[in-house]
Amino acid sequence: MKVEKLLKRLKIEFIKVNLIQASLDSILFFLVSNLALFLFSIQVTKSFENYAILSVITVFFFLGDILYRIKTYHLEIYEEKNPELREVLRTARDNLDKSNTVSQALFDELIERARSITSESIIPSREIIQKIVLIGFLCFLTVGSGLINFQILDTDSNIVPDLGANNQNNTKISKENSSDVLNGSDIMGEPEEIDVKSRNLNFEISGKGESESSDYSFEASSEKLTFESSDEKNDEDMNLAKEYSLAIRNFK
Amino acid sequence: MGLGTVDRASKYDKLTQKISDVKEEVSKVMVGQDEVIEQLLVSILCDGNILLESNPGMGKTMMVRTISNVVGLDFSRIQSTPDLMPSDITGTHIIEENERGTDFVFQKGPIFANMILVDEINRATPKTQSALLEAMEEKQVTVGNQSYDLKEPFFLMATQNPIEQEGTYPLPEAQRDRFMMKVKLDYPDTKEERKIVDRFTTELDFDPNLQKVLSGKSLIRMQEFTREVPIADDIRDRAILAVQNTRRNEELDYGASPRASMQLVLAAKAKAILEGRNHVSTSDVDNMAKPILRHRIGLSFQAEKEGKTPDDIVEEILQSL
Repeated sequence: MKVEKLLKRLKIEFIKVNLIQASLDSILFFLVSNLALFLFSIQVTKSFENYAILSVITVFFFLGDILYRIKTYHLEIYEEKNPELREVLRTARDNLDKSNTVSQALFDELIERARSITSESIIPSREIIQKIVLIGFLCFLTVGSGLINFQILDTDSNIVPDLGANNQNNTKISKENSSDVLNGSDIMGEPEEIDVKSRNLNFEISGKGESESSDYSFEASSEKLTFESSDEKNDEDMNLAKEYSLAIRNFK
Repeated sequence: MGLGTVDRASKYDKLTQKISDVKEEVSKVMVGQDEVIEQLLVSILCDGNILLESNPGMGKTMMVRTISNVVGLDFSRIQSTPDLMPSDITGTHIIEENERGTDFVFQKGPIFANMILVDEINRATPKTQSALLEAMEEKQVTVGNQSYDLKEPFFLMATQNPIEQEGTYPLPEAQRDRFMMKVKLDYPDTKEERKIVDRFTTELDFDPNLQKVLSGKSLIRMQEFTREVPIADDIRDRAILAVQNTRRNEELDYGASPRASMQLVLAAKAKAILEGRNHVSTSDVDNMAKPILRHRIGLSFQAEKEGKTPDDIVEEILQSL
């Protein structure tokens, strides 16, 4: 039926207008968020660039906004904006099932008059112009702040912790990398004097390491060190053993 | 546009054009009283009857006669008096002599016309009033044990004088409810009265050449069209609520019946056609509320003491909607 088509067309016109509105709102949301993150040097997460995350959020924002706007659709919007159609649209909607002469005359007249109904009649032009001006201003601010590298805070902090196992390793390495290079005392503690004259000490130091791509390099290797010593009692024993050996040889 | 659409559009255009022609023809005779003429036409389109409250000499007969000429209907006038009998209106059986001998034949009374003006209905006795009301409601009269159908379309306008209530039989509430609307005919203003005087004093028999715009058949078709006028649900509900509020109003002893709701919506549809619209507007309901409701509600003693009229109460109800 023509009137049903007309009512559908009116709804499409409404959706078109709100598509523009939702698009502008989303662009505003993206620009404001992006500018705020830049000015305060906030990195949402190190895994992704800010613009990528903001783009995803903006898409969700747009979908939510357009769905909400479509939900608020009612025919009276056109009546308010087109006073000459006041009551005609409602009457047509409530009498869609009628097929008598007068109802058909109403439908025909409505279709005739509805040709003049366009999206323009329900476009809040003032609001849209304000949003466009605001978008232009935000674009200017974004470009300007980027060019002069103006940032209110320079914290370089993360809002969201990095995600994934690799990211955790990276964080660990990153923390290790950021620590200072320690000397032997820091690692092993203060050296202490030991008495090596009276005993033998055997010890081994071994170490392992991996090569890492980093600004500095270190070499890991394994070493085997042997230290030997003897005390006075050993000498006596050695002499006694020597004498004993000679006595046995001489005994022959 | 399809062929069917053109047909429908031309049918509707013809309808509105004819209504406009009727108004134009009536205005050749009547001066002013546009609102009353419009309400009369509304009543005709709705197949309803009118109770007209007016002083003598206001051109009631002229008005109904002119309209009946223009819409191509028979007209008759009944002057009510206390001694008027039902048979004087309905007709009676008389003995007729013919070749076969004598025979009882029914001689139709003045009620057998399309448009009837019953002057000062409250002067007729309740018995006669009942005969009239049966004719209005049933579109038939009963004489003896036989019923006779009235002409179609049938339209009755009864008048009553707002003054001189002595020796009258006021219509009971239940009978007033049978009238679709109560119309008040006010005195014309100076300009209109001057025009009336000029129009009717310059010629011996003022008889403008009135064109017959409609016929009985086409009028019935127009009555069908009237019922087809679409109305939005919220406007219909507004009419119903207005009527319902008369039953809840503290300043009224009794409110209007559901018949009033039906007739308010119907009158609003006819008003829309007279306005050249193909749908009912809120203003149609508001315009028709007073004539439809004013004779169906009864003021309380308190409201009467405060000097309020039924029109004031209806206006208050409409404002509150």
